[in-house]
Amino acid sequence: MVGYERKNKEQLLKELEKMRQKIVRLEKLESRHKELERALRESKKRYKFLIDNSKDIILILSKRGKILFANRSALVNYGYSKEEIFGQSITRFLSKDCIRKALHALAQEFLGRPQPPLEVRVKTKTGEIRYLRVARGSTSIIENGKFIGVMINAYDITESKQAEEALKKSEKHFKELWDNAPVAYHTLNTGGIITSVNQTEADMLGYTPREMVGKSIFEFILREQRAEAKKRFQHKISGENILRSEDRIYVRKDGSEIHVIIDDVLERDSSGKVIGIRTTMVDITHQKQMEEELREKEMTYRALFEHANDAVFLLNLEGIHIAANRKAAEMLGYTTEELIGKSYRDIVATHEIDKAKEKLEGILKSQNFPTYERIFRRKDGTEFPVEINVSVIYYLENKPFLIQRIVRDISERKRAEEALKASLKEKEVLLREIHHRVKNNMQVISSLINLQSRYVQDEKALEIFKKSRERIRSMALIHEKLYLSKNLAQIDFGEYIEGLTIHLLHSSGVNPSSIKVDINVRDIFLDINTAIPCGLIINELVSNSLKHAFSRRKEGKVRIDMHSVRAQFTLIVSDNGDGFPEHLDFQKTQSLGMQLVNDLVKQLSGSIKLQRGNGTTFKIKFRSLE
Amino acid sequence: MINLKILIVEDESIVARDIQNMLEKLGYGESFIAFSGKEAIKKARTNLPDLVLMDIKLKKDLDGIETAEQIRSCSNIPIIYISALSDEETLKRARKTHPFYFISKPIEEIDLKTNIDAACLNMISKG
Repeated sequence: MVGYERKNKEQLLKELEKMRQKIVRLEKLESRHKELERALRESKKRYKFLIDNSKDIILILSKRGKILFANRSALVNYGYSKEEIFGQSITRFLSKDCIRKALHALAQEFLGRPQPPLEVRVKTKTGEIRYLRVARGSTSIIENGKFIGVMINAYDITESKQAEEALKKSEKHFKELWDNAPVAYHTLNTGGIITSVNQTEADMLGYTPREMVGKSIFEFILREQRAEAKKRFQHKISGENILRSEDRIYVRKDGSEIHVIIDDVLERDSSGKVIGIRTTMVDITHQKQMEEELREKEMTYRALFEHANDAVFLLNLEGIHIAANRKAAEMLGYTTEELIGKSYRDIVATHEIDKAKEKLEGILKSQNFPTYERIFRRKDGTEFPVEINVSVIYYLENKPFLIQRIVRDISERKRAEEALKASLKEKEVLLREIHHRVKNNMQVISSLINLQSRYVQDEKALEIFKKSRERIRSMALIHEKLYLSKNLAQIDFGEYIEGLTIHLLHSSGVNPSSIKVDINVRDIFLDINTAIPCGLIINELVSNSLKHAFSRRKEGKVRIDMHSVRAQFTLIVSDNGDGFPEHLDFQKTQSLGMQLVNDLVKQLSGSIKLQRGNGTTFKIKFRSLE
Repeated sequence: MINLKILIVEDESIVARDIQNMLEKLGYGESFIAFSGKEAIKKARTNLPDLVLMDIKLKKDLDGIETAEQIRSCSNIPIIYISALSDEETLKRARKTHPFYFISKPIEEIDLKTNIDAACLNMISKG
């Protein structure tokens, strides 16, 4: 108070003024402070708004990787609530294969080592996997001087990732298409250097694409075709040549050649300038080989057709010639051109046209085409015989398409046949004449014996003469049968035996009603060399039976059986007479007849057996001598 | 025994002689031989035989059938053909001459007798 008491009014007023000014300043300071507080609140509000509405994902992670904060994008886009995220480890939401690298990156960030952007896969609440790209670097959060964690900024790249994968897939697909395309592709720059080549082309040529790219395409073309190929390439590049398919021969890595057909397309840049050529290439080697084979076949068939020794005609179903070979033209006196268009009627003898028409109609209805003969007419009207071999050429669905006639002039053959027939006839006549002559000579011999016998009184001698005549007769009868046979080579032996036995019965003087001859010989045909000895054997054995077997009997039977099995003949001559004398060995008898029989059996290379009992049976086996 | 005049036409003399001997032995009386067709025609006209034994195959001018045709053209003398061998065509030709029979060579007495006797009976029956 003392101080105040001592201060005057002026001093007090001054102090008061100072106090007032201080108050004003404090008021201003307070106002400023309030303003700052408001501004801070506004800023906080805006910041929160920004974080909440950011499309990026903003997370604050603790040192241990726990989520301290997640903005709305992080919650909404992944379907989690704050409660489900906050306080949880970040690893819970990461795809397993990302956890390790994510934790590593996070640790580095904590150590203040900024990491490059990191891509991780995150599981949404529904289990969907989404891709996140974590931005490079993080912000440390420090409150009250204490490190709380780091703020991580990430953004969802799922769509772009999917697009990228789709693109990769598409590219892979395209590459596969490119490489495995059924046609070979390559692209060339304007210098003819290969800028790309697909696997198909590389495989086709035996290289890898890497071996081909960068090389001149002309290195792969057959040396002889290179100059021409280069010339054409230049023309194509310059736009002078219209691009069209071309055949080309390429050479494989192993040196073998390959025929290809190429198609080019010019490649241009955005300004329209030609920057190269894109070429497709198709391997036509097989096709070329087929064409070559077909051409060779065609040439072969053409040569066969043209140079055939027989005339060949091709007719349509109306019987009009559509082709004829040189021989056909020569045969008929036409040119091949003249023959084409002519009807079958024009080359057939007039009197055979109806038959030819009937034949043609029959052929089209039949599947069987036997060879037949016809008379043809030449251009000059002369006629000649031909042999025709016809066939129908079928097209799709077995429809008759063409008629082929292979025709042979058989004039010479016919003449030869006629000559042969005449010659055969002549020989036949001659042979018959010989048989006649032989039989006539036998008659002469028989007559000589007969004449001579007139001068013989001795009964035994007369009997010998008689037997000789009978033997001659048995041989003469063979010639008679041969003369009358159809083929002059074999006789019906059954007929012969009948004729022979009738005569033997007559000449033996036995009563035909008391002694029967039973003949059982059917379908036995013998040649002359077998028939004559066989006939003589029967002559002797039957004569013996007739003479000796029934001397003590009034009645009897002689039986002749003959049969053959696989060219083995068995002849059985038997009687039911008195029996061959027991004391006689038929193979050592003095009888000329039995000696002849044994000799003739040997001549036939046969065997003979005698069976005694209930008469006499001779069984002879032999084979035909021819 | 029937007494007949028989003409033997046979160009083989030995055979002709043999036949003649057989006829004689059989007791048929007179027989005479012609060795060719022309001779046979002539002897048929002059000797007027009752029967002709004719060989079909005569080598010379006329064969047996032609000879028989000519003989039969002016008489009804029965003909018996004798043949070694005859084909069907020859036999057909021969049949046109209306022969009495065919005898096959070699000739046997029995064949001759049987056929000649039959021919005689035929002639008698026709008067």
